[in-house]
Amino acid sequence: MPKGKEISEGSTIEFTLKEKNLKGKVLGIKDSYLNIKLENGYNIMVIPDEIKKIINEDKINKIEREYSRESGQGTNISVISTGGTIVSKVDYSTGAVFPSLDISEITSRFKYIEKSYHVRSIPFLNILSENMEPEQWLQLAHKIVEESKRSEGIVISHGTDTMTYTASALAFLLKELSVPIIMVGSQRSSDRPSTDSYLNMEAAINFAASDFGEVGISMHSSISDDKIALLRGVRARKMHSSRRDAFRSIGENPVGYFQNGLVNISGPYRKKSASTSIFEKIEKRAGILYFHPGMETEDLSEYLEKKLGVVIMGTGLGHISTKFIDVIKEYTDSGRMAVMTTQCIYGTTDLDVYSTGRLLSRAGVTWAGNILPEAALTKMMVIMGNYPDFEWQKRMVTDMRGEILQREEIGVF
Amino acid sequence: MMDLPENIKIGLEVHLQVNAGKLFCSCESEGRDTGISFTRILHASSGELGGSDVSTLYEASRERIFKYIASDNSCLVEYDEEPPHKINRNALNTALMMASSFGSQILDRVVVMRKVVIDGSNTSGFQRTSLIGFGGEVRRGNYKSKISTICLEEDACRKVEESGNMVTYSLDRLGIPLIEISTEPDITSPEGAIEVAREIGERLISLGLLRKGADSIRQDVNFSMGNGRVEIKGVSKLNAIGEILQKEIDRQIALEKAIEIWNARGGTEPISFVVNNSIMNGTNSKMILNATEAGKDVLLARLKNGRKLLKSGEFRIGREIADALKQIGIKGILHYDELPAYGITLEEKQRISDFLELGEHDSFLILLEEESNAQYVSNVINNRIEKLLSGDFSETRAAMEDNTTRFMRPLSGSSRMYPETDIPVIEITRDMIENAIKNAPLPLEISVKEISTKYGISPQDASTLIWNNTISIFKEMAERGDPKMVCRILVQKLPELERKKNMKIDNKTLRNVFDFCLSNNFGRYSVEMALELISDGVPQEKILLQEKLRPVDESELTELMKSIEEKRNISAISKEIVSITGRPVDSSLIAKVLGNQSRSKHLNNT
Repeated sequence: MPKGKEISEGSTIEFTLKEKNLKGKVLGIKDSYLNIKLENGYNIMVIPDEIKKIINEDKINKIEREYSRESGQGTNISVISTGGTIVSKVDYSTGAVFPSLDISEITSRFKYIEKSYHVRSIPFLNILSENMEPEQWLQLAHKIVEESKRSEGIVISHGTDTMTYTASALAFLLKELSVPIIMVGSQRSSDRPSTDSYLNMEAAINFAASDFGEVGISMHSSISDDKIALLRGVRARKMHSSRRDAFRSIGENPVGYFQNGLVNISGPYRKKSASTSIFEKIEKRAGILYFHPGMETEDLSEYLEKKLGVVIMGTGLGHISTKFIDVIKEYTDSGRMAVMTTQCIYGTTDLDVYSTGRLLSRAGVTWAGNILPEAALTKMMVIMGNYPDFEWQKRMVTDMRGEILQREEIGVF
Repeated sequence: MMDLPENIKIGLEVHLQVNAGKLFCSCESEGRDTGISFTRILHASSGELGGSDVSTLYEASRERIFKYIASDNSCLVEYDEEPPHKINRNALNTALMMASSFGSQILDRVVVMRKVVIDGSNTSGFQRTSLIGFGGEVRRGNYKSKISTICLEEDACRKVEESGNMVTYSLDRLGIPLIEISTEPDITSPEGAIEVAREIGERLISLGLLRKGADSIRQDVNFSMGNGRVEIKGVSKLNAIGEILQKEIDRQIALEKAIEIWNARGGTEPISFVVNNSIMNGTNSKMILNATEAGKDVLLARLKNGRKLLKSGEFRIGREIADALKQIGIKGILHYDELPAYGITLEEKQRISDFLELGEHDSFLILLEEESNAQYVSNVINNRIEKLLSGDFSETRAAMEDNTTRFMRPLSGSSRMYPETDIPVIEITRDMIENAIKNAPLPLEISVKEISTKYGISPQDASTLIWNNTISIFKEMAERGDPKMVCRILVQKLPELERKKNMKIDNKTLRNVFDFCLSNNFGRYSVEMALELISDGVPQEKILLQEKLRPVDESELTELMKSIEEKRNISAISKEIVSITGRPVDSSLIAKVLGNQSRSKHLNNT
């Protein structure tokens, strides 16, 4: 590198590399390499020592677009963003992903949305969903109450990894809803032409304008870009790490679909009510424990020590090794709660069938039919935070938001 | 030798499919459709400098649905449902060998980029491509060309059909590694282009790693004669380069002349369509009647100073306009020069001319479309004419079967590219470079000589092995013992079988057959029998069995011969033995046994 010259981000430089004269723009400096975009569009990584000559210091003309936080006219929809792939953009110099709050990016793709909806973008959090904490669920619930006063529907953009936890938590925290709460995410970031975010969001806005009075999830129903499913939050689960149609409704069909610009809600659902109200507290001292062969009694005791309640993911109909019976009994006897769910995900728990189940039941383990582990955890957190302990068990086994299905039909598995 | 303008410049982009599985997943190069399909929509996105590429916006303006047919050599990576896996090291090493073969400089670090392509040919909406090296030179005979870049990229989907706003692609080709070698525009004749392209292709052939198939080598030709660069995509036959370029030269010369006349008349004004459905009342033109019945409007526009330039003599500006409209799915356009025709009478033509108050040099356009599309269509036409009149012919064109070219899209710019964030930067180690230098392919002629000497086969056979793409199998199997036998089967038996049965036996199957027979010490007759059964459609698992391919041995044969009627014809005996045992038999062994028998008979008789 020529002495006395500092190469800064945004410079246009001419240099010799491998005996060839090249010209390009410095996009950034990373791990002692210069990331340079050549005139032909390719990026190369160069050690600064290889730079022979700098012609000028033109800054890159980064096109800063005006962010529009509101767009269109018609039904008021609030889009609360919490981060995640759906709103992410790539910072090309660092390779990092950052959120975009420009709502018109999405709404302007669909002319009719601008004509029928007034969409407001509300930046709330900017985190990857794995970093979401229960306190933030509560804050989000409060935000929903606030937004429900000025909007007819609320869309929450969220990373897909923990989306069903948040959806379930909100479902239990919100006692009644005067607006639909539609969570939306994407499995392909919106910087890619093949992104699923626009279609998922288009559907979410349309779902949010319906009379759905629950917390739903708006995601692809297949790997085709043609039909978006509305899943009940407490019955939904991310069942694939990368596919667009990763989200599945477990044990029941999706509540509805969005296709060709039309919403069709055919499954049973709770209609929106006159007002929105919430539970004010959430108990964090709860967790999920995944049983496996080889688990030691000490592992279990250690885990349970600091928990007020535990959701156990047992095998089959809801079993764990009988060597744990005493530990579990001691735990429930001390007024704490253990709820059994199944690692099978699909299907119910039943502690009456096998002897182990009966032992566990006698040891004070609660079983709540086919409730999903994530729903059980968030329900437990809300119940323990807001009801006296003698009511916990009764509440856990009673369906609150459609999280416990009384019957499963044949076609849903 | 054709008559060429002096200032022509030709550059090549040669794309070679590497036969090494796919670039970013574990799928194989060959596959069949599974019948499973899905549909997608692609959206324009902005590049890393914040801009959207003009060709990307152009594609995005065509609202299309893409249908993808999954093949059995595609997985979630091709469906754009899973991140790309690590780069295929064989393909990368092959690209490095090719680079060192031409004396190119290899980069120390390879950054995989996403080149945005939203015509649906990539499910992700981008093609993964990486710059491997630059510099170097291709030489052949009196021709040479400097290499500008060597890239390793993934091949796109194969288009199956296009109807209405739906384009159907197969995923079988998506993700096959492509080595792209681009030359500087320093070639000055079509012959030079052919020779340079041939030399590039032959290097990969001589390496034995070119994929078999009609589209395994594709050229894009960059061409200019002073009116801007035209990139001609998809020239699959080398020999067509000359004719394609000649036709492109003719097109540009005619365009130059037409534009000169048009500008001399005072240029043009932007067109704007007006609806006049009643003007064609009483017409017998089926085209008009069908269109109005389908709810379309008759839209008319005056084209100032365009008369006799759209289609007259050598002038074809009408086609330039129609090609641009075809890209946005608009077909129903007619113009002054081509009428009377399509059932439109001279009188009707006059009526339209009067309505539009045409001047002496003016032309008109008739568009059969819904009125709501008029603005959009006129914008496309105005942009097209304005660009041509400015003398800027630069654009991307597609090579057609008749060796003419058609407008495809504007030239792509560099804002089409941004880094593939799912793949970390790949370090090219010293070992990799040394390996590349050591194994760099030689010019075909030299390779032929080397192989012929090393394995004791004729140069003709060596050359056939290379051209038939069986050289890598040959080398592998010849190392295990009998080069002449392997050569004979690959050069004679295999093409003969393929011709007779009209089917191709892929390299993987060939490898399996040889591998099985050689490991069991089975010779030529076993390999031949296996190949024959395969070409009859018998599944491999029913062929590659000891009890099936073990040749009949001498004692078995002696026993069998006793029960066979006396036949003196070895081939008839051989057929009968095969039909009795279902196993291969060596005819020289039959001769030997026959000899033994006659000797023993003779002895008995005496």
